[in-house]
Amino acid sequence: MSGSTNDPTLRGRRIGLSYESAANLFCRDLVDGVREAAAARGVEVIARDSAQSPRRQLADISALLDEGVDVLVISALDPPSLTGALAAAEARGIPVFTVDRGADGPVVSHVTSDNQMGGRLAAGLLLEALGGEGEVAIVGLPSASSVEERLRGFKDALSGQSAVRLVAEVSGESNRQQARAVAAALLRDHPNLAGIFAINDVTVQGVLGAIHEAGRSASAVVVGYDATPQGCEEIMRGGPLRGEVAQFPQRIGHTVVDLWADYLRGVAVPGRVEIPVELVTRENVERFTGAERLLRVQRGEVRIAGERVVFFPVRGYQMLLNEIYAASPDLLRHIVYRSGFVLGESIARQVGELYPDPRDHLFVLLEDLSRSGFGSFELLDLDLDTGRAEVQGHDLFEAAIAPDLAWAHSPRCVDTYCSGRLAGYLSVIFQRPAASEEIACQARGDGYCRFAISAEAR
Amino acid sequence: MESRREGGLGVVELVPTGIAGFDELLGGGLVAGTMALVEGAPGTGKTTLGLGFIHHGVVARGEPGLVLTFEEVPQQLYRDALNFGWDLRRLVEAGTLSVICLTPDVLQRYLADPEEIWQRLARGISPRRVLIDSVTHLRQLTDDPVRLREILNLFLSGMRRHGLTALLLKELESRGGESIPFEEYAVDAVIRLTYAPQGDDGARQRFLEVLKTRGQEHVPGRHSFAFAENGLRVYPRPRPRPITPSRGERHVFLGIAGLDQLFEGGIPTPAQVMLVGDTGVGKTLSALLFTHEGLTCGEWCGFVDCDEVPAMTRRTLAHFGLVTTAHERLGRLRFIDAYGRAGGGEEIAVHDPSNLDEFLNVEDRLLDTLRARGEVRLCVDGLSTILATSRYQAAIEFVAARLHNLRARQIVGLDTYTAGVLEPRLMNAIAQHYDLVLSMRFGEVHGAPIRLAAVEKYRFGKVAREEHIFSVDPRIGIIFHKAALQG
Repeated sequence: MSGSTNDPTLRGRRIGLSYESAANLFCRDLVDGVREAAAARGVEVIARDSAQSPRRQLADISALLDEGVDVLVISALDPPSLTGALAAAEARGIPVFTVDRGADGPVVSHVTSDNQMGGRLAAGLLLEALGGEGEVAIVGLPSASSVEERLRGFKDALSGQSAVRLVAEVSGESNRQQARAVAAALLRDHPNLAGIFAINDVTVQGVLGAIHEAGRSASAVVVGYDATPQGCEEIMRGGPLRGEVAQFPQRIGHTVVDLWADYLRGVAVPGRVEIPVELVTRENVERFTGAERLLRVQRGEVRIAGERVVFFPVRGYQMLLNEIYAASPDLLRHIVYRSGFVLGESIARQVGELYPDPRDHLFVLLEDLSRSGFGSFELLDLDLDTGRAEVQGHDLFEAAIAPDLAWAHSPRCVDTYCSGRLAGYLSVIFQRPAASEEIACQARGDGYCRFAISAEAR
Repeated sequence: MESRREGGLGVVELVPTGIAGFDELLGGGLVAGTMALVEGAPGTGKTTLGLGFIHHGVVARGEPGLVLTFEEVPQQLYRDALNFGWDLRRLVEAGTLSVICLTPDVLQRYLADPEEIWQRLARGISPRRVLIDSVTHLRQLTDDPVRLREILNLFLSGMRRHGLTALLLKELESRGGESIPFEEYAVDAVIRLTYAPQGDDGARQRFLEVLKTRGQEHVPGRHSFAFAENGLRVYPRPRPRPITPSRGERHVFLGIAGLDQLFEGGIPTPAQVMLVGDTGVGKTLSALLFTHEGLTCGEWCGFVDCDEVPAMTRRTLAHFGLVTTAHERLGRLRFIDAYGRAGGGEEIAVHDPSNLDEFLNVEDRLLDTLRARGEVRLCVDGLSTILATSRYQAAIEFVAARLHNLRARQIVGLDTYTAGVLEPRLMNAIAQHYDLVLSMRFGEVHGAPIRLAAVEKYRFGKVAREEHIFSVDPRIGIIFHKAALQG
């Protein structure tokens, strides 16, 4: 960041930011970057989540203009539909910048990752892993401009390699299940297939599933994109995923604010700025999984993956429960369960947009719960027809503090918050209210905690 | 035939009657070769019992049967038996059953050749079980009591020689003078069926009592029975079990957190809790919370519904976020439908809730199943409804027997009673049998309705006796308020 809180040019101004979806980690990081750079200059950010809806984005932009923002920063979901909105901004003298996804029209500057470079880096790693020869395939996503750039870079890098043959290019539709299905078909149709380029995190997970299922983990290698925590974990595990290309959305956010500041000062700004990407491999993966990537602390605010969090010891939670119990014991179970439920429901709705397949959806939610320190969770069963699921947990934080809970006065199931959270998740996945029963608990001496979640009868 | 080894007596062969509950009274069945007299007034169920014994032998055990009737023509017997799903005509056609309708004259002729009588009567089917309906008709053969006894002995010795097991039906004569009919001396076992008034409203109830069994033990006392779809069903009254000392210091909670705070450290097992309350005050919800608490603590729970069908109770549970679907699926929670309406669809049901023996029997079987798996908690919601038609003494005995059995098995129990259903004198007497008595009632403070709860009795220690205000939230359930009601 080049600015400071003393920048008189910007202080008191407002940025109107319209982006794809808060469910997307990339977007949250990008918004976080804009906020950080703006806060450093005393600028307010009014951010609008379009939730993957072009219509909503159009309405958001219109509202931002009506609110009198000084600049618009847009990640365009559907560029053609924004033509009128951009014209309206221009008519009001409001400059427009685009980030990640560009738009046609009066745009001052577009800031995005260097996706062509990303494609080339991916190809290089794949070539290295294959020893410069073998059959490769792409599991991609047509019609997304950023993906087109990645593939262009990837194919360019392969073009001079006569010993490497691109045998297939299929679409995983940015859907784990679909990616798994098309990758399974690729592996079946091409028994000598040695390498796959998967164009984003969801696709990577589907491809890895297919390779594992086909028993080709030892012979096939994968290079992916995005380097999400989940992807980084796979790289560290040492399986078929050799590496991924990491983008830096936060830097995109910083850059766009810097460009706007320059623009206001009358400095000429480039029409397109590409933020370098970086290759994540087993050698450097720890740099990308460390807290410094996900965790940001600034002026008393801590954010993880863009969301504000507060840390306090687990015994702080225990004390909170004990105080509620002392004040009104009968409310405790309801409060704890319901608070888990409503947050679980909210998170599941956000994430659901990215994971149309219910199993993927639940898998990601359970992963998130595990990563957040609630304990480890494993899906035992999911039956969408009957509306039943069973989840098993180990070392859940509530069971760990049970001995110090005033109300857990005899061995009992204590994971009420986790139970509510799971019920919230499954209510979204089953698309009808669901309830969770804890049927085993380590706090009462069972070998694990187990939850049976059932949906209301239709 | 099944066999059973009895201490010091060697192996004794048993003949299961197939009558549900009856064999339990006999330790598995009648001793093979037993001549059993079944006596009772008309309409008490003697013939049904006898036909059930014969049918079970033929169909379930491959033992041919012989029915001698002096009363009914075979067609009438066939028709009556079909009511219980017994197709006797088919068995006769298959050659595994012989039904013979005898007149006294024909019988007289048969008696002239006693050695061959059983082969002739059985017509070559080699019966193992015999039903004689009824020996009362032998009196038509002679007025001479000595000759009558000879005829009966002729019958009995013939059957014994052939190793048959027989039920001999007999009309019960007036017992006013308590003279014992000679048949009771001659036979090995005597079973009496009665149909006697029970409740204060004069409602009658059927009972079976084993008066005598030679060479085998039986469960004494009167046991109620009923006509079920497939014959008679006897409800053996659970035998009192010896109370075993508590295995340590296990304490439990009621599941109503505000109330549990009054019992520091919990309530020692196997406490028996009586909850008395006004209609609609929150008794059922309390009972459900009590049960849910048991499930949370890993106990195996039974819930007996006397005031509504379990389907309604499940809805109430779900309404308050206490879903128990998985616990039911795992068998950790079992409902008993004691509401007494047909078609409840529950796996376990008390068909005639006013029949206290049936209630005890069904409850006892459930507890046997649950207790084999772990610690058990039982809740009966609406016990006052079950007792509403019982006589004072029968109700007291029932409650005492139930609670004794629960304590003997280390089972924690909570029973709810609706205030005003039973007479105050009976309620007071019943309360004596419980360890903890809780009351819930509607009250009024400054004209506003409130709910009040109090501990009326606590056998295990001191507890504050003042009334506590509580409310029932439509989403959360019971909420106890911190302040007790003053004055």
